[in-house]
Amino acid sequence: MNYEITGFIERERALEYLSLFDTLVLPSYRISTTESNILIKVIEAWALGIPVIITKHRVFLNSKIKDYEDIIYCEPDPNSVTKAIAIILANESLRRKIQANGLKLAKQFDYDKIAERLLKAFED
Amino acid sequence: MDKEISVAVIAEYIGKSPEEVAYSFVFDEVYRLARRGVNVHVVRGKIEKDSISYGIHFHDIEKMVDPQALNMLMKNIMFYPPISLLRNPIYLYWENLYASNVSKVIEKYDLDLIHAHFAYREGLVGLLAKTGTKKPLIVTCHGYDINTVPEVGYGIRLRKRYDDLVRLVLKNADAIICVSNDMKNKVLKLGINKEKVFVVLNGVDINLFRPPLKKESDTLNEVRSRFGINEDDFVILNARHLRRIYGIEYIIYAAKMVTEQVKKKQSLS
Repeated sequence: MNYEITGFIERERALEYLSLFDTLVLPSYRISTTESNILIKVIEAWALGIPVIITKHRVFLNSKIKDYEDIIYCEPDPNSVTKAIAIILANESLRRKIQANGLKLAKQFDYDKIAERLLKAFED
Repeated sequence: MDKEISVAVIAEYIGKSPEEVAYSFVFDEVYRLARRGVNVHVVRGKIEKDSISYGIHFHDIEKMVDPQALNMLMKNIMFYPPISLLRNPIYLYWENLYASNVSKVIEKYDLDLIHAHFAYREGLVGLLAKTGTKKPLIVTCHGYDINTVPEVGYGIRLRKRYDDLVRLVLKNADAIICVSNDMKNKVLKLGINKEKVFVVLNGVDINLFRPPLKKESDTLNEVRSRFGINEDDFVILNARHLRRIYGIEYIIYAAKMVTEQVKKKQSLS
């Protein structure tokens, strides 16, 4: 097992790094902040076609993000994370399905759509 | 033809280009607004000269010592919740200096509304500017300003002095934007009128973040070789601060366990 803690990296370099990854793994604890927001990094991973493994936070369930369809849920626990990684590692067709669904999901979060909603709030 | 909307955006640390990381989510948003014809003036908390970048007007703090800011502070002193006055006086001065600059920009360009990112500090600055200019105030709550996690000391509202300020801002804002439904519910629990709370989720630039992921490209091969990563290696990303709440130790344990599982499988086949 090799790992590297990069620290802060510039945006251009970060995009270069992102091109390397097969999966994004975020086994965060369940606290109010992780339970309430869909993180920008998750949306960016969807847009890049990188399958996401993440703790089953309330916000994803409320947003109807489906396990084994859009994302792989795990528990903040090494065994659960291992199982999720092993599944993604072994199952090429599942990986492709999650990649394709992630791309569709990301389009819903496109900044042009966000700007539309914001303008609506301004006008209201 | 309708007059285009003009807005004073308050974002203290925002950069002037997509390459700058701080508040990049705000930059991405205001850039889209500018492209849609909104006249966007961003007022920052930096000591730099005004400029235009990517079709957005950037205004910075003109000077650190400004008698107008002191006058504004004197006028606003009764406006502050009493406990919030028990803070470093420099903070109080800075809030009013920043608000004074926002007010000047609003008046100079006759802007229609104020949009502050984060309930504190920008929301408070927006509220102080609103009291003088009478322009509507919209506040976007992003997380640290609303959520609290006492176990790890997360959230500005853990401190009563700031909790009172955040409540004051939310109560007096004309509209509040939350980045999730859950956050909206938390704002409503603070006694805020639900008619003025909107949800606008976090976003992504799908032109920048898009496949193909440069697979098979020279760049990828070059990056892979730089890190000694073979073509068949499975690479995991975790993009988080190194804090316990993010469960990074689980990935480290899991990586070891997955490696052992793969080795076992290979030896059986």
